[in-house]
Amino acid sequence: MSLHSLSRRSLIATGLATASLPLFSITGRAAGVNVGAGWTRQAFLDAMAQSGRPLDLSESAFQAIQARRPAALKRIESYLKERLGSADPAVMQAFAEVPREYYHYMYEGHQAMPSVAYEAEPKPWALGYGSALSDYLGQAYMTQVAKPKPGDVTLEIGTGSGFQSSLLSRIVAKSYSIEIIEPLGKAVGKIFAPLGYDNVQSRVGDGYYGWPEVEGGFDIIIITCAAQYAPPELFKQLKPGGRALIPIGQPFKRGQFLYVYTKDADGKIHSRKDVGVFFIPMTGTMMKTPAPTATP
Amino acid sequence: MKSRFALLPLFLVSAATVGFEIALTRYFAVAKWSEYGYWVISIVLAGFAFSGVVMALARDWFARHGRTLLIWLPTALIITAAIGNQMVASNPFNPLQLQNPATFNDQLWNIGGYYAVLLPFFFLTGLYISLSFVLNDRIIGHVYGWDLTGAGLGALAVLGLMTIVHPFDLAAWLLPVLALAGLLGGLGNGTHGRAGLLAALLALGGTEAWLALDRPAAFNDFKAIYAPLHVPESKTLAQIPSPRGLFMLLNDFTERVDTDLTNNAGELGIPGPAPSLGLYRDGNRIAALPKPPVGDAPAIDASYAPATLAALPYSLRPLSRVLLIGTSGGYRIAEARKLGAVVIHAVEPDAMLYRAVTEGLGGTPHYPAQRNLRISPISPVLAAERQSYYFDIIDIAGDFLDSAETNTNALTSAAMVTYLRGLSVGGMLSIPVSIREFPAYALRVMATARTALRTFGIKDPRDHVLVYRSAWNVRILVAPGGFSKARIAQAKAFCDQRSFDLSYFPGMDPGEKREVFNDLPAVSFQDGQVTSQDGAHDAIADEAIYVLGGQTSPSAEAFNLSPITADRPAFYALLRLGQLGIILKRLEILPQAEIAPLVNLAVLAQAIVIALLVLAIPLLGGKRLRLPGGGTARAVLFFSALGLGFLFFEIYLIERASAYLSDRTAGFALVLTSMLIFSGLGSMASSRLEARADHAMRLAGLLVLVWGGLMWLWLPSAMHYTLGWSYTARAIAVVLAVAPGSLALGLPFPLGLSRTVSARGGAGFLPWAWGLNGAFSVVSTPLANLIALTEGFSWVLLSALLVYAVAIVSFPRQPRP
Repeated sequence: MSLHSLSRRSLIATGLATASLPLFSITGRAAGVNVGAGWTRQAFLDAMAQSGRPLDLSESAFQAIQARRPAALKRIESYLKERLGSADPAVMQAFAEVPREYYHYMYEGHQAMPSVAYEAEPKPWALGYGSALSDYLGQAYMTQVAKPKPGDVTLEIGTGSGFQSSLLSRIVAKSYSIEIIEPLGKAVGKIFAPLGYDNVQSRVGDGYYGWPEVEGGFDIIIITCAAQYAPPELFKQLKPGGRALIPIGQPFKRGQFLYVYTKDADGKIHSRKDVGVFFIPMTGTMMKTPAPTATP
Repeated sequence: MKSRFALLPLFLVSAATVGFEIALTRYFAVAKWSEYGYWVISIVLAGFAFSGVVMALARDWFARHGRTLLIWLPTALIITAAIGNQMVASNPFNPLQLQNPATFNDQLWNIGGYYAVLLPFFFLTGLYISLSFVLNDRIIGHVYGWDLTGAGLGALAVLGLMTIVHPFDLAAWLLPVLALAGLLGGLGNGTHGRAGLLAALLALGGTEAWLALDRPAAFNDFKAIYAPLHVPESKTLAQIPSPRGLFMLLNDFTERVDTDLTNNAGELGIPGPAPSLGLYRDGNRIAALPKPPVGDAPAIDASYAPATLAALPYSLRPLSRVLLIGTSGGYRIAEARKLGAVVIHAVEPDAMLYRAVTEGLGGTPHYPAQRNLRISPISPVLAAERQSYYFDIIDIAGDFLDSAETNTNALTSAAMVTYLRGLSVGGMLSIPVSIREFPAYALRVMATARTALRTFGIKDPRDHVLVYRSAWNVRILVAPGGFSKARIAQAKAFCDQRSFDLSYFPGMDPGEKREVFNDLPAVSFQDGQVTSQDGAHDAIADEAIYVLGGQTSPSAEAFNLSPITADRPAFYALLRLGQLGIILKRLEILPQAEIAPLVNLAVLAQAIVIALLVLAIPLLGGKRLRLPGGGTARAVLFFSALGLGFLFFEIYLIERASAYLSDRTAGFALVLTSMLIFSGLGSMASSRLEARADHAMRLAGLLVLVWGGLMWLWLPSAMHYTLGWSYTARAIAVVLAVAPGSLALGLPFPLGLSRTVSARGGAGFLPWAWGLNGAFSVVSTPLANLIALTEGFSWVLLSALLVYAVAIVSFPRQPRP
């Protein structure tokens, strides 16, 4: 079924909604619907129905959501520039394409909440089953820190809302995702196809062993449920030069500390604690008093 | 009232009320997080305080209708208790959202919801109790005695009930107690009485059916247990209710031993830990337990042990005699064996974990008996002190601190001194600290180790400490004999192979450039800034040298890095509450464990408002609430001081008893029930002393001060010297220590009430006195907790003594004839 049935009215509406977006130049974009090219109320409702999450939404309510998007994207751009020095065009493009309202759904209770999308004060949203849709600033930050590139293959342990996988799928070649909570994983597994995101593959199961069937390993691994250590198997599946990210902290904070793991040429793992969500970079020396000398 | 047993309904109401209060705190501990139980207690006491206010304003009306009200109130209590229980369980309060300014407001409404559904019950209970005082103002001592003993025995009964009843179902068992109060209250009271009795029975039937059919209580879906319960093929193998907590043993694919494994394990060819079972207490994971072995395979395969952060001491000191503090479900024993330990003494003070390791739990294998292996439930300090040989390694498990509340006592400077004395020449102590959220915890433990070394007699602690880490955890090695260059080189090689970092070693040049595997940037909690520079950074290394050298480190400005002591044993107590503005600005980065002081602050603020409201009553009550001859001010001071002082003593004693028994639940139960029962007995005796009230008050006050003074001087030493007694003997010792003072504590309130009632116009003052006592009790709990967190428990005791001294001198004067 085509998701691109356009009427003159919807063309104008989506054109207006995306008019203020900066132009991003991305090559090799993945297939699928994206906001700004045929994302109408009907397309939204059809996708929701196909994903097993039917809802009613008026045209005015839909347009109100779209009207908030440009401001949200501007916030993301400013946030990334402030925290990381620049806003990755690929990340911005992904946020521009993926309809966030599609992911606002309370799975425990079967309640769609699209009208809260692109809120002026970004915040996490409970999805049920112990999962949360992180606030879009924190998600933008983590996505940019992951440095996704076209051609990358990514693995996410902890699918949650599916928004992170969807974002990555707009940039990379293939995005894999594992959810350990069965009812959540089964429900979220159905949301990618209606959007035409055919490069996202998800399953329910134990993420400890990663996805060993994928030959060649992964460029990016995101692990949202870790104990005292990251499973050794996951590092085995990390490609040289790849990055593993583990967010630490409860999901309702405004962002989380990110631990970023890389593998050096000798195969040894290095980690970096990224605190940029909470702390502004300051150049220069932090120690105001001279360090004492060690014992001889 | 016709006979003293006419107060039996009061006894039952008090018992059920305390039981309901405990049931609610247990609900919060299991479904949410235990620090929010303080809020429950404050709601309870607020209800009592407001009831005193209402009673004070309309005392005469209540007195006229008191008999009828006492018949009908139990029915109202049954209904409001049931509503409160169900509405609390249905409240979608998510405390995690309090840490985000964007989601904070919704949760305030939910907190308001708790007040709305719980205040009615506790208000009505307060009304019942104060009405009992008003209608029996000639036998106040007996009334208070029945109230306190009812509360004490109610607490004991509920704690006993917890051994068989799930925490979510406790309330259902308490409703019949209220119905019995209604039954007894209705008997012999004619038509009204029979109607009240019938109403109580109908209310009981209806509410029990409701509680049985509608069960909304559940784990918060962000508690650690939620995901394991909901993964495919998850099974609950055992569920054990107990006063110590609700224990659940799960079999699901997420369970593995929680150990800090090198990220290079794959490169080293070392497998990760095998799947295990998970043991949870109140929804928080406390240990992995081994699965039943297949065939001849060992229950625990610890092949991964050389890849763990904890492994270094075993390569520095091979073939060692080891004291393991915490068994991690038995895994630490297997790990120590794998790493070459030849003699192992493992201590597991937590009763459930000890049972799991030595007997098995829910079908798990117990750790097999072996030569040169001893597993005991005693305190780690006792193990280090009383062993007949010296240990080469004293190794604290990474999950030991969080597996039981009282385990923090194993990390005090005094405990470390004992460990150091128990080490052989060349031996070392290995202390784990998590730095996942706040690296400052490691600095505080270093400061504690430094204090211990100095106490031990070491002049320069910097030569006797070695600090290394992964991304998430630090291990601090403390060696009385120091670290040779060879050992340091060995440690470097160990770390290098595993992508661990050696953050501090004796002789380290802080300016020397070293490879850092785990970049840990230096952040400023005050400014909200992070240092950005080329290359990886080691913020622990930056500050270790300051801390170990006894100098003020940059983090000390933001955090309280004072050593952990027996008097101030709280581990998660880094925040300087004097910097509240900055703390609230950084609210979202605080570890959840640091939230408790902020909850206490919020509860304290609320409590102060309530106390001020209750104090303001005279403005509304007019002369009805004044005592002649300026007695009002004295009486206000007296009853307020009593409200503060009793709970200060209680909180001090609960903490001491918990540490002494290594068991928070037993400490709480023994102290609470003993204090309530013995002070109840003291209250009953007070009626015989009313004729010589001044003398009795002076004697009681003197007894309390002497008792408190003896505790100040000798309790810590007495605890230390008797730590080797059996558990039963120590429990008896707790009761014997609490009893004398509690008897004396039971006298002042009823003596004071009797004195005010006998004054002209004093009868109207009685409910206000009750309200004042309740209002200042609300203040005392969070205040005592904050004093303990910031200054130490001895200051709580001192505060109690000071406040009781105020009470003694402000005892209401004998009214003029």
